[in-house]
Amino acid sequence: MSVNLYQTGVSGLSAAQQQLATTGHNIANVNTEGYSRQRVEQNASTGTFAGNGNYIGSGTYVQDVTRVYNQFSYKEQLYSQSNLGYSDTLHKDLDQLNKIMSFSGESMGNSLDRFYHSMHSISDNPSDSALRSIALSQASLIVSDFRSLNDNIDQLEKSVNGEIQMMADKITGISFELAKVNDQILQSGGGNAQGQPNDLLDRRDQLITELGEYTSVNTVVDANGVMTVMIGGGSTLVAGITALSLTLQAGDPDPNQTTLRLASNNGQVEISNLSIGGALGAKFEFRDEHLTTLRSEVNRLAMAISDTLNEGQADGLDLNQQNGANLFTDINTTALMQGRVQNFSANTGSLAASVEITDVSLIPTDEFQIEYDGANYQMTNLSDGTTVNLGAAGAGTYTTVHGFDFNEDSGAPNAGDKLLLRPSENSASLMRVIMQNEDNIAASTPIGISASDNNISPGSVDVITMDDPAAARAYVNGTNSGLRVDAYLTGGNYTYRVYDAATAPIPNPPSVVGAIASGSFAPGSTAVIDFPPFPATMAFQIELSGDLTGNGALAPEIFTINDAFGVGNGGNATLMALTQEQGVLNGGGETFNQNISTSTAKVGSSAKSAELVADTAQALFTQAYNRNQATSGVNLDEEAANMMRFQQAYQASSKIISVANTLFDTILSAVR
Amino acid sequence: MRVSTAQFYFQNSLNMSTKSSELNEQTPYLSSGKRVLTAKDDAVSFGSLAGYKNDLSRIEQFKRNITQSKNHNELNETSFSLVQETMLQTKQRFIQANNSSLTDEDKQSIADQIKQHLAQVLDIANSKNETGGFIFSGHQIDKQPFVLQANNSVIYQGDSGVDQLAIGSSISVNINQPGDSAFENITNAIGDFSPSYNTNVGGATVSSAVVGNRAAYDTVNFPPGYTLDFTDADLNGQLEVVVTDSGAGAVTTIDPFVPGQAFSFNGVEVTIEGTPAIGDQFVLSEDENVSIFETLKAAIDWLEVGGNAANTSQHDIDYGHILSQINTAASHISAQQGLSGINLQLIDSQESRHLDTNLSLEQAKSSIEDLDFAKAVSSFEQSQVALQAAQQTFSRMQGMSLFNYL
Repeated sequence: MSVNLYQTGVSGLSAAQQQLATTGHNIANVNTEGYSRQRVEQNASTGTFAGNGNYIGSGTYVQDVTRVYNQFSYKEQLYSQSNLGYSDTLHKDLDQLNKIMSFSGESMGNSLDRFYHSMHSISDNPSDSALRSIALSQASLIVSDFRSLNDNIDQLEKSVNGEIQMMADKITGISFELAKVNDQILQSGGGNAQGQPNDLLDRRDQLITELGEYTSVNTVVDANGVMTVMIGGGSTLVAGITALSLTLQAGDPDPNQTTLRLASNNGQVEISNLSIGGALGAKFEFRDEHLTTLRSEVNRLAMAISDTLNEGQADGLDLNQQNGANLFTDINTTALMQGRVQNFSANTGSLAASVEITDVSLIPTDEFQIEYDGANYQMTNLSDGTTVNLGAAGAGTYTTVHGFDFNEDSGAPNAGDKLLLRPSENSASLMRVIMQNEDNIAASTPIGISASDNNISPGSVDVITMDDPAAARAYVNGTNSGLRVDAYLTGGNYTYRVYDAATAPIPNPPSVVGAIASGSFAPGSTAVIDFPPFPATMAFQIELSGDLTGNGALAPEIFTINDAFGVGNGGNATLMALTQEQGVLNGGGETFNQNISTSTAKVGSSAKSAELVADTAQALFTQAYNRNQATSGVNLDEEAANMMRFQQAYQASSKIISVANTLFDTILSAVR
Repeated sequence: MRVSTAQFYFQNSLNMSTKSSELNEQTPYLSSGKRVLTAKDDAVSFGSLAGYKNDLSRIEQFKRNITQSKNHNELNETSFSLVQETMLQTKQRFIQANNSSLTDEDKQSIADQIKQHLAQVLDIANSKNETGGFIFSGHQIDKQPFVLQANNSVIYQGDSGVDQLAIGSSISVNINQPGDSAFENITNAIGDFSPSYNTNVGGATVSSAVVGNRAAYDTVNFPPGYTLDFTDADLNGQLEVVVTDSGAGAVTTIDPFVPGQAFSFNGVEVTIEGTPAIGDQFVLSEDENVSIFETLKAAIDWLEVGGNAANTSQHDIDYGHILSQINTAASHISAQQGLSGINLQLIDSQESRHLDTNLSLEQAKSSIEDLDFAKAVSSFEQSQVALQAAQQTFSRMQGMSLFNYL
């Protein structure tokens, strides 16, 4: 009996020792991240049959040291962690983009304002060289604003790519760690009745938590306690004790749009950027959606400004009586046209293609992919997925409804070849002021139309197209001595004639002898006349419109077209200055300043939504963390109380031993 | 619910860092006085805010244009008023000259004075603005508009160009008046034709010759330069007028001719006062407009003839024409001054409109952009107190541990 008592005491002692050790371990690890508190499972030893029908208990033994761990609350915490990583990263990046865009956008708006201010002062005083020089330098400021915003965006893309690389390396590092830990767990018999390697399990969970910040993680534990880790949409990162590494591949066709690969000894597997989740997923979304869209919008605006002002220049004459030359880089230079098309590296054909812009107001910010299916070019809009059949190969030029033409420059495609089209690519980075001399600002209109004082009807004659101002002026003033247009109502239609004003005599209507042009049109419609008339190359067009009744054949409505060039003529400068108010972008609905503020507001609202989502994600994560900690966390007060308890148990057990010793001594002394 | 030690610290440090960054975030708004610094602060209103800022800078631009156009139009108005004064003086002198008691020397001295008036008007018509461009040359501001010839006539070298400046979103105002419409295109007092009296024994005057009916005015078949011959071919005591065109083709014959009563041919209506003699011949040349310089030159020439007129009655008729033309010129100049005045009125009304619009835009912009200081400062105080509370709670609670009592 005392032998049993002795043994019972010892068992109690050793159990209390293990309890104290575990409590000490818990206290020591109070600040260890990812540590789940451990507790000792004590079981009573089976009783021995004492012979008189009773079972006497024989002490206690330690069944197991387990960690207090709820896999469900842990998984919840892991899931919230990924979400938090995703929304927090996206929020920070969008915040930075918002600041950049708000300040750059305001600066761009200001330099546009100052440029247009200088155009207005040129229209007031067209011969002043100083004002013209100011306009040229303001134009340079617009260019430098665009280029610096473009550079900022490039810089952001580079740094995002750098961060993605860092994260991929980190994930690879974690993957190798996990494989090692899995190995260790396997070696230690992992998770069966012999006892769990709690600290290894904690370490593995800690690694998974770190991983979860960067990407969305799923785990499966097999019968041997070995964990398979899957990231993103289910791609395996760690298969038991085999680790795969996460690498980046240069994008195709745009090398800056890197994509992820899982690399093992057997080869590489691509993972989709879209399903990766976590901070990595946020980086991809930021780079591939927000940054790309913003860059596209900035490029498109640069293109619109260049085109509008260049076209305005082309309508007028400069101080040297020459046609207005381009102020900014032409939007359809060879470099720009070719830069808008990128070939996929898998292409086998020899096609070189380019994109020519025909109507800036229709250009979208979307990207397009053209695939040659063996017979036709299929163009897909990558934003909404719609596909248009452009037609068979070999036609040279293909018109689209988006304001650009797709041109085959040379070579031919093979079936399966793909091309990426970005209609506004490089417009901001290649934007330059190419005008050197301030005299080249085309402030003057070339020709003017004046109505005779004797006209009685409210109709009008206007210049609607000006293709070649110098030729127009030469035709009006050189080939002819002014043009005389007359029109009157006869037989229900307005009949018009155009004569060289020097013709003498000009016959009375309806004779058209010697007329340059003649015709008629019905009331309610208009007549458009080309000058010089076909088959010569058209230099300008006029339009007769409105009510041109006149007063019979002998007194028609008369209009004269004359040379209007003069160093004091600021008419074209006024027209150019008014383009600031005109809707140019988005089908003619947005002015330049409105476009800037729309882009800025878009970024701002994305940043705001990202902030709200991040706040929610933080709250959810805190909730999940608290729930997890409620189960697994160490509470020092609780451990202190436990320490007292187990200390007393130890003391009590040691007393049992001492009593058993005393009992033995008593029996010994009784028999002596 | 069980609270672990790690959770306690995590929670509290998260709280404190959240509160202190909340406090920090309010600083830029308080120091700039704006509620919306970047688009993120209020993406929905950011668009309107940008729109208001655009409108305000547009109005600034219009104000600059208004200043410029006001200066140009004021200069024009002043010039015209000076010319007007000169023309009135010329008229007075010319009226004085219609005194048969004046000698040739007196008339010559009046002619000299009118020559000075001509020089003055020429000088004003050739004036330049502050940038050195001629103000009455239309678009050819580097060319002098009116050049005096040797024979005292004046030719116009400018053009008809009119420049405009935008002073409102769809309102432009002219900033110059070209010399041709200001000084050259003065309506002929007689109408659309000028008479030359080849033979005028009867002393009649063409008082008016206009194209009354343009629809019937055929210049191709009956080219103008109409010669009116007064005859009495049918010998009935009543004069007839034989009208021939410039190609000596017959136009029509007016029978009977009644002095003072208008007769018409080919859409032209002519009224002749006085009784022409048989054999008188007048030629009507197309002349819709008479330049002011032509008028002044005609006055000078008339005065210099003095008493040596070949045909004194014709000389008196000429006097009548010249005086009425001087009148017409003076009222034309006054109308030009009126045009400048109308432009100035338009500019003024636009200016006050812009002031009003500016005010309301500023208000609208401020209502979106500006910070409500009372609210902001009190919420800053609140955040401060919250941070202090979090810090104090933490320091209280972290001291409580069972280990302190063991």
